[in-house]
Amino acid sequence: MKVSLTIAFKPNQELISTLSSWAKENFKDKVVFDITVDPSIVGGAIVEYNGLYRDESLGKVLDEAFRKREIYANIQRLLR
Amino acid sequence: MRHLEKERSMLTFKDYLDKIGEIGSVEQVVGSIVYASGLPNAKPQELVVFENGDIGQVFSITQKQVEILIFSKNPIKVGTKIARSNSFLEIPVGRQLLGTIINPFGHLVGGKIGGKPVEKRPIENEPSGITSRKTIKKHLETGISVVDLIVPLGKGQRELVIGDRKTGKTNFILQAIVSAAKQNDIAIYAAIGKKRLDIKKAEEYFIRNKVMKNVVIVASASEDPPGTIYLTPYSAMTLAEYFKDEGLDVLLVLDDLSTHAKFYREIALLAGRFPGRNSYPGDIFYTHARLLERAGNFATKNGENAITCLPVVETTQGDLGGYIQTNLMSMTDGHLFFDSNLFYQGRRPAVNPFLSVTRVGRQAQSKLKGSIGRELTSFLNLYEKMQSFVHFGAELNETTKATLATGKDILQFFDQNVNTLLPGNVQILIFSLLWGQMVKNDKLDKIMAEKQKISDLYEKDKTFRKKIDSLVENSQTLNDLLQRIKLNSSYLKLVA
Repeated sequence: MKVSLTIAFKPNQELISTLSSWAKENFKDKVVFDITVDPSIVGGAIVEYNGLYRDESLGKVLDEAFRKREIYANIQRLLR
Repeated sequence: MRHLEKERSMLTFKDYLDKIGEIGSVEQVVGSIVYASGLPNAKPQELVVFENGDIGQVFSITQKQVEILIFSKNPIKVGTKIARSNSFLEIPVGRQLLGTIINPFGHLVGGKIGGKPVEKRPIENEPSGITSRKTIKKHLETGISVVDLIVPLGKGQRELVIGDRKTGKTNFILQAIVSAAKQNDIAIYAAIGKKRLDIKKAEEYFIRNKVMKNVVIVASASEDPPGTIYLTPYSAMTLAEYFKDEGLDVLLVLDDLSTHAKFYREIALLAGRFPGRNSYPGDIFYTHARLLERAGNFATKNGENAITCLPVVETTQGDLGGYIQTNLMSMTDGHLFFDSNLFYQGRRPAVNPFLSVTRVGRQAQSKLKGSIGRELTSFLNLYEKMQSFVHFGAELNETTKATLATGKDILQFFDQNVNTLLPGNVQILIFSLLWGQMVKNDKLDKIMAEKQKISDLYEKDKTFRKKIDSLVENSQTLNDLLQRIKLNSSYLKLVA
């Protein structure tokens, strides 16, 4: 079973071993991680598995906040 | 600001990904069909969005892959990501579209649009059930005398227009559209995979006849992707249904369904469907039947309104027994056969009255027109028989000579070029002058040559119109009508 992960930084050995031991504990099948590095997502991760897609990145949260103009409002409030 | 709002209302590929939470990836591209992995919950006919912004429609689903029909000319690369949209293909509908040329997605490609339509409707729609259907009672006037008198059509009828290429089918339907639009019906012309020049010519013809305000052209050009061409008649039907629900009678022309079948065959073969007769897929009948079933005469909230549908189909060398041709004959309420032999003899329009059928048109005709139709059909039969006698070189008696002369006159009466449209009552008047031998031969020839002038006068001169209308309306049968004209010589003076 293949899981695609998109994260914002190059993973070190420690992260990879944490991931694989977590996968071994939680899944019956063996898991292959396909890791892509994309700094534009800022933080968090995007997970794709078997046609399902979950974007749990900080980039998305920020995008939504900008879209709703919450950040502008907060900055304006701070400036006042 | 408005620009920003527009941007916000349009969802992007990423938005769909986040909203639905499913992703797919292109595995294989075969012509206009894309095979994709992923998209576990894709539904048949659902719209999907590609990474580059192109859209596609789910064509079918297998256990491992999803087949997607693409609508863009740009090639799609293997590995391109795909998102589901959880929505189906819709087109904008509204009166604003009158006078425009749109593509099957409802985008403007020509003409002037009166504003932005607010309503949207899915292009695939379940045909209305039997309870909402009404008997066809209203006569549809095409302005072509041979059709109106011998093979009459009713509003809500589905009449196949069939014939070889270059036998005047398109000219006939263009005339029928102008005639319907002049009577304030809505006309929709679906040009399916036509040459751009032909689409433009059709538009110019409507503009020249000042009816474009009641016409919408739904067009796909021959160089458009097969998926786009395949959708054309369904979009046009959706638009027709909108106007029908608005309380208007609609004339819908599908030009032509043999091209449509060919493009559907192309798609189906690319998608690996098992080829059936003439390599058409097994569901070609369903493809057309579910479309034509949506036409008819319906009870709507605004009263009784009809979608009259004239699908066109091409034959090769006059063969009426082709696969698509016979399929369509079984779905329609009759057909008008355009005979190439008659065309070469110089008959315009080249409608063969003996091989044409109308199953519901006669019930919608007035009593008078019905009696003229019967009279004409039996006379034409006689005339055909007599003509074969003449070939033997037999000496002709006076009766035969008279029959032949009348037959010639009738054919001359039926002769109509593209620019001649005769309102029903004018047809009846001219025919009765001929049939009752009310005018001398040289004068009759003149009347025949100037049919359009009489028709123009009828449209412009109110008293002329009133007189003819009351004459026709007060006559129950042909004999009755002839009697009235004989008794009152002022009718003859009118035409003179």
